[in-house]
Amino acid sequence: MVILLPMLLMTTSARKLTGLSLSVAAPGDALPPLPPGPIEQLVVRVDGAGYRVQADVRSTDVRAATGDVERRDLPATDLAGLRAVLRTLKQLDPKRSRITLVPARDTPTQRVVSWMDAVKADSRGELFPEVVVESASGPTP
Amino acid sequence: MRRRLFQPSSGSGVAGLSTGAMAPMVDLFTLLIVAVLRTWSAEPPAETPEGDLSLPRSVSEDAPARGVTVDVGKDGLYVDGWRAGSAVYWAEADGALVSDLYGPLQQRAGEGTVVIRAHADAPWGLVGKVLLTAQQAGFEEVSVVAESHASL
Repeated sequence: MVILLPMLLMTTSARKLTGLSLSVAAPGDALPPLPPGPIEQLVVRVDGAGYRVQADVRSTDVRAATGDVERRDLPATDLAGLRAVLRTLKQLDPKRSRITLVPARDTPTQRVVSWMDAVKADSRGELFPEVVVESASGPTP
Repeated sequence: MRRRLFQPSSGSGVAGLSTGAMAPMVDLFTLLIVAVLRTWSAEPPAETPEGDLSLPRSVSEDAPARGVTVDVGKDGLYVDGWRAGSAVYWAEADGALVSDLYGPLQQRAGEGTVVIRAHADAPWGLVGKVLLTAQQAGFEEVSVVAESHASL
């Protein structure tokens, strides 16, 4: 024990690193198709008041034409509020795993990483683990 | 009854530790080892071109990928430790690609994965340009390195 502990302290690092794999949405990029579900597109933007979730939900109205979608704008003031909104959407479309984040150009990297953590999972389980970050000038695919 | 933690070892007259005294020490060392294994990384300490590069913190615990490393520091942009351009210039510059990085990255596109180590305060406009440049240079996997919350 007395030898093992100093050896461990000498050969390892106190800085435990982790990797966040992500996709980047470049202009004109086509991402792999998603399985069909009630939500066609899910985008989270940052604005002055917090976060804004844009969800394109397929219309369930019997009179609606095929392919009709209804855009829902859902605001969230903080990450806890954002998680609550995303949990509601996850219940609507449990198979969906992809989400697009649109940070502002001046958003610090730390805030984007916290944001990525928040949309991947909450205390109740997985949310949207496949994160696509929109590039600085690229449109959402 | 009083517990005797120290007693003379048999046959020598030199005071030694009894089994009763060793048990808490073994417990303590076990807890220390568990704490070290939980919070420390088996990876060698990460060396960054700019010594004061503070990485963003994340709750994720996935091991970082291996590949070509691009550092986005306060002062410069680096590919595997070699300075490739100015962070200040490219943060302000127009355009979505960082041409200083494109050449060095394109030469190593066969490695498949690029690992971005960005300063926690780096503007996402700059990091996004680096990510897009790596993607355009031919890298399929992009990973951002962060410091795990489990770190001490």
